[in-house]
Amino acid sequence: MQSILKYYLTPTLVVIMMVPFYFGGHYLWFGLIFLSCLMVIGDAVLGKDFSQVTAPKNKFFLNFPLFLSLPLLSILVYLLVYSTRNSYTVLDYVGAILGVGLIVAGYGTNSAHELIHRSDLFSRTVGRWILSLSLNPDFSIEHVYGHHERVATKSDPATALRGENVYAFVIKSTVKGHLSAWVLELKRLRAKKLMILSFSNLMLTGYLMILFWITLFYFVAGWSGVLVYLLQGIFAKFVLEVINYVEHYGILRKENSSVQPEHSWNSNMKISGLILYSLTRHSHHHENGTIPYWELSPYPQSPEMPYGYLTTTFISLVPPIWFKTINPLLDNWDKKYA
Amino acid sequence: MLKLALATLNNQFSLLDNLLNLKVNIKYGCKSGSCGKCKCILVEGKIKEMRDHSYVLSSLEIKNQTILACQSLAQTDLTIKLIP
Repeated sequence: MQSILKYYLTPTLVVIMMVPFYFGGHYLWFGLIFLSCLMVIGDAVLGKDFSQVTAPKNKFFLNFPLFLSLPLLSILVYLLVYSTRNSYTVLDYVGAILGVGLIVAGYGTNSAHELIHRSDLFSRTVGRWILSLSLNPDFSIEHVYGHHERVATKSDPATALRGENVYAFVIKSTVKGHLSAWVLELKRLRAKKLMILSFSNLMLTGYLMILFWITLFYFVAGWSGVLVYLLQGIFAKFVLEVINYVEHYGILRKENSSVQPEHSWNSNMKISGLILYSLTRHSHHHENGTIPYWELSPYPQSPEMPYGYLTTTFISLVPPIWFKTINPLLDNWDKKYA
Repeated sequence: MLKLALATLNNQFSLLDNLLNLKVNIKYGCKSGSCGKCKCILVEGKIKEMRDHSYVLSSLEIKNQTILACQSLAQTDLTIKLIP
């Protein structure tokens, strides 16, 4: 049981991040600073963890924190929206938006990622609702049916090519990923002889989920409420794309060859893995996308990300430092696998 | 043509995993229902789709009873034809 309790760290962080909204003002920066320090310093101090959980027969307590992200993050975004009824400074709101966006990406998108890979409709629907908090109606389609098929090829929008700047990549991946999801969804609707303009269209229902939040937050706090919801969502989506960037940067395989552990950057940093539900064990995830997070293996022989997830993400935001950090690792990759 | 008795299959796992366990030489890739490499034809019997096959299969393939082994669970005894 103790080994499962650790997966309740991230929901606890969300609850802690709700507290500053009671105090307001400069305290609205707390979430961003707290989460960043925890992940960057935590990984630097605690290092790697190659252990695996012995899962109990009943998986309820392993699954529960994933589903819990929807109500917890909805409350957090609601608090952000409600805070606009006060008159804090723009700078204070910037801190709040970045903090909420970061945890919506870190906890929300990760939980949703796990849920949309599952085969039952309930998990996938909850996953899609979580993704609507980060304005992301395409991920449940494009990630599973596009990215997993095309990863580490030039035709995958979510794989960054060598020399590609992170900011250009974010725009490319966002636009091409969205269009690719539409292509996949239209193909499915055609194959099933379903109407495009119907509730069967997962892209349209994805837009409706976002419209639901916009309507709700308009009634809570007017257009300023809608604005902060959209801004935190844009930031959360930005974080997701930057994570895509660092997870796959520069690694290519031959088209039609099967996906192997060496086709993504892996990480076994303890705090990153804990907060992000082992998304960090990315090599095993890409080898078999249906493995639940607690069964993902560390794959210590796989190509390894230079630092923990958030540290590597921060480094990637400064392209000259990023290229200096990643190029020697890519040289090693070439020697070993190219 | 491959005949599979339901009693010999472990339905906690996909048809693909069962086939691999039985040392059947079947092509496969992502095991996520996205690459389509484990396509095979369901000649007889019933399967449950773990995920929607129509993102990967065309309407013609669906009509021809093509299935994705990695996203199928056997519901009855099966006869399948592997696609070389």
